[in-house]
Amino acid sequence: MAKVTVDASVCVGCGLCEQTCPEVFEVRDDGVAHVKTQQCATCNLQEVADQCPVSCIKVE
Amino acid sequence: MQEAQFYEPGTGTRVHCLLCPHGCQIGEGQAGLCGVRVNKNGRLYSANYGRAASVALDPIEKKPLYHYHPGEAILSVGTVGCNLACSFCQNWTISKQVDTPTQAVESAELVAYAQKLKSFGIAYTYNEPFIWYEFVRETAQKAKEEGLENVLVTNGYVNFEPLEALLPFIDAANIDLKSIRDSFYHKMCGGSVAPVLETIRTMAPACHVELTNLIIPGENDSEEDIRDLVDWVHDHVGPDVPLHFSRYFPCYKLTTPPTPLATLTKAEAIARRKLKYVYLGNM
Repeated sequence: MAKVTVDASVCVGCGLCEQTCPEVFEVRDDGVAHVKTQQCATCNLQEVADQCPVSCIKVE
Repeated sequence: MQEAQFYEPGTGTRVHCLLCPHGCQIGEGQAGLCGVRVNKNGRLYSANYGRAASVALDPIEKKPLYHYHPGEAILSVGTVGCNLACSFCQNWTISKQVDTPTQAVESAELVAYAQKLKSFGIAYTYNEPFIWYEFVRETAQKAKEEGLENVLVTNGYVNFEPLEALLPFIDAANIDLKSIRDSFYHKMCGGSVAPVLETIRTMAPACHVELTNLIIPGENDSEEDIRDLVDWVHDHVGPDVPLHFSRYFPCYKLTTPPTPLATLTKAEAIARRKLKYVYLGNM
């Protein structure tokens, strides 16, 4: 299974990943995106990662 | 570096930038996703203030603006950075490489240069002018005082408050409407369409506005894409707003072949049913 991570030192918390896939991503009170779960039935997580404007999401 | 406007303390040592709809929470020493608004000791600074990557005298038609000072040239300035991340960016060496060499410029110097060149105004263009906000506002105000006009060539990705504060100095704008679909902005640009539509609706009654839609094969070129975009323009800003369809060429991260000319002429025919002024560019 793919492993999704967010580099918190790069993330600026713009929330685009959360808008695209709220199932997996959530911007929390610390101002950056967090990974809630590793899977989404409807989203291609690599695409979500590719769309990140600061490229801080990795899918391995 | 100049302290930025439109921000508030963020969570912990972060600052919350309020200039554009991304609302970046910028960590200490970090820049927002535009690459040019930097948190230093809890204060936000504009790193590209007074730095220009490009200064040139361009025909106004190059912006493109076809219904505004036709046949005249305008002093055009731009810097580095952008708050969208379009995979097809046609200006990526300045928009996404913020370490591209820049030269120091002062507002008064640009205004004097425009006068010396007998330009009717100054165009803020090449990269995204809204993320050059403090410098653009200062220069535009000085230019206005000297009887010059100000032009923005923009992606329209800005919050209402900063837009409203800049608008009194702006005479004309070409705003990119890259697609009418939110999915396009998400997939191709790292943004959303709603703020762009809001900017167009705010600016169209306030200054001269023309729109540009860059057509990319397979991404925003369907009959439905064009029709919905044209319908929106017609219904929200009216049939008199000029619309430019621009031809895409492979650039930056996108390798899709250039837009076929037939796609552009088809888009033109669809748009002409509803809009009075439709143009094809970059052919």
